[in-house]
Amino acid sequence: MRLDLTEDQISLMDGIERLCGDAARVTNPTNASERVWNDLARMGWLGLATPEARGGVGGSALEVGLLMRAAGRHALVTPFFSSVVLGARILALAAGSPATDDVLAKALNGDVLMALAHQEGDQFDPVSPAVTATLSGGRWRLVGQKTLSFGAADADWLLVSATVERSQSVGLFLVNTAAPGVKRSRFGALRGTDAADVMLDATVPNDACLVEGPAAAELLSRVVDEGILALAWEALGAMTSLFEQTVAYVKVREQFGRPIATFQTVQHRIAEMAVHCEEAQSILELASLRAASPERRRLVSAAKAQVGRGAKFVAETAVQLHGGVGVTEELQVARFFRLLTCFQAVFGTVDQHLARYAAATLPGRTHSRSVVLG
Amino acid sequence: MDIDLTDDELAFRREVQVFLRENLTESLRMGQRMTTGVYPPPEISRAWQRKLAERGWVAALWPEEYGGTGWTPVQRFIFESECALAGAPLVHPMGVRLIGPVLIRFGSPEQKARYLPRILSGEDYWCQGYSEPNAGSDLTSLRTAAVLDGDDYIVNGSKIWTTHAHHATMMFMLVRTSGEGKPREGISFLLVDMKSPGISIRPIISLSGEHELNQVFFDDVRVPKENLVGEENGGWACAQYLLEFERGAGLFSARLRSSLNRLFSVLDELVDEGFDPLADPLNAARFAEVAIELDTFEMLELRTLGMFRMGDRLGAMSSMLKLRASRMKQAVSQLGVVLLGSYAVRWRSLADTNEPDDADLKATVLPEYLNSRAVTIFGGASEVQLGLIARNIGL
Repeated sequence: MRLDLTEDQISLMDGIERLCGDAARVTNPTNASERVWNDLARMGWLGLATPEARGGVGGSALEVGLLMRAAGRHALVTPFFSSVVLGARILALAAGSPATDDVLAKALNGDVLMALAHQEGDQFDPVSPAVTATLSGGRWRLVGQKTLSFGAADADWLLVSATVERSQSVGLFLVNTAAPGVKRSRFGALRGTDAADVMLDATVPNDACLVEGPAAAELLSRVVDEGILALAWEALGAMTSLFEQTVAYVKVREQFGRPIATFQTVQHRIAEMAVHCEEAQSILELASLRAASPERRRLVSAAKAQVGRGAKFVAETAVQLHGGVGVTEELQVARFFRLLTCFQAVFGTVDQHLARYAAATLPGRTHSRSVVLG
Repeated sequence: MDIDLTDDELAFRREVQVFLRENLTESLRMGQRMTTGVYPPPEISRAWQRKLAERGWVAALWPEEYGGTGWTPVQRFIFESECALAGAPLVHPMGVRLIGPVLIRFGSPEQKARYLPRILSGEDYWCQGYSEPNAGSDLTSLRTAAVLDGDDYIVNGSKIWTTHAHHATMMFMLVRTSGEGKPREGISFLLVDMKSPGISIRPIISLSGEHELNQVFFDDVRVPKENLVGEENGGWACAQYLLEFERGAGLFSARLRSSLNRLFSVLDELVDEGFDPLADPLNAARFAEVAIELDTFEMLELRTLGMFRMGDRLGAMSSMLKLRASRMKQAVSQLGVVLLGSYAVRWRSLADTNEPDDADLKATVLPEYLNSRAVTIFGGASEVQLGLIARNIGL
């Protein structure tokens, strides 16, 4: 075991932190996010989640998480999550063709944006999509509707999951958003970037089907789980920032003739915020280090539920301790609060992940052994 | 960062597993399994400690020169996890984990030579004389007095919530030796033979009907001056040092998981009787909530351990671990009574709870819940821990 970060991991973390911090200081959130995205592209970090053999940097889930946490600390939301962690990752892990390799290379440069359209209704983990794919005359016809696809509103390419009619199994399809029959309905999603629902009645080429059958289901499930971890790391960054902002605020805000930091009830709530941040860090390290193990589903659900509850506590307490100004746009708190509210709602709620955790552990009683030692 | 075991760590783990297979008897395992209070009966913990002592595996927190194991933090984590999950008795921590490190740091050469070997062997069974009827969370207000008379201190007053005082051969205690200055500046740390004339013990029966706690009275008890640890009026430093070990050095996660496993053994028996609370999705979610907190806590504990080196102060991290471990203990035991519903109240009468030969596992669920109410109170109440965490944050 090695229980601390390597030098490379620390320098990645510090580098991203500096880059986000610099961007956040000089400009408004939208411009700052754009600047961070451009910096990440320029410095090659868009390859972080992609294996070296596919032209990326070959970073681990932990390293992707460190990047997401640094961005979350400044509530700077870029297409890194939607285009890189989800979209390009699926493209990179599926068997390539010259056409898809070209799209991947452009996604890793930031020249094209990708998004994953897999969710249907409130099912973040659909094993049998209602969207259908039918092969006829050497082309695929995709019909159906996807919900809440982050980044889809501005993406050039979508990765769409569908039930392939001939095999009644999952297939993953690369779909150009300019293709006829791809309609996107854009909405704000509290994250500072838009999401979209996607209506499909589109025909795409034969090689648009990247992978089909159990391998497709496993690939989708793996990348969605990695995406959940990345979002949770971003949430931890936001929690940490809210904790720091609140500590700073209660030291200067005076009521009854003294700083409110001197009141025990305030101190205890802040101590609880600190505990939630440490717990989130712990479960995220654990889940990320085990992201490629058979315990992945269990630990990803553990992380989403644990960080989800922590995010709720930290966000609500931060607003409460800021008092009236906490519920306004006067301070940064509001932006972080919205980001964390979004986090709790998407890619499975706390309750959905509690259920998934129970389903992953109870049949084999895997919870009876040490989660670290196995 | 990497949490997979190295070859050496794997080999060590196998060594521990073999040791447990060869030494952890069914009666020792049963003794721990039926324990619903803080500590197993002394005959159980001592019997296990003797086996560990033969192997030199008692004191992972001590330097090797005093008989410590010389383990890395990860080895310690492996050892404690394997022992707890195999159902090994808890080694009575008062000697090995609490007074041992204090003597190593603050004790005289004579004290070390006399007491450390007796702690390792289990010959002395220690209890803790900290709280008093009017000094709980505010420990510095303690009033039990020690006055020097020739070569002895004469101790008068009383200590309360003294777990297993009725089994103990020795007590480490805080006494007031001065009324000058701040309250904490007049406190001294003494070692007292429990057979000393003038000591009397009143049992205090817990919510569960069990006898673990006591009030101990001191009536002109003579304690030799050489039993003072550290300087006179310098006892607070020892007290604080010990509290950090009490709160944060215990490695609780595997013990908590072992409690959850015991609950599952009960649930298995109930399923055989046609009652399966986990089939209800709401209960499955309640289980998941607790198990997830446990997974989280295990990693938190491991990370903290990774930062800790022998001789370090545990500081605020010990408060965080104590806060979480105590709440987890309550969460696990609450899960038991929630899942069992009305079954939880029927197993045996409170008057029978000191009958160790009654091996009905179902009867452990309710007392464990009742006893666990104390864990957020002793060793510094949760409110005290929150205050310490806040102070460390700079508030």
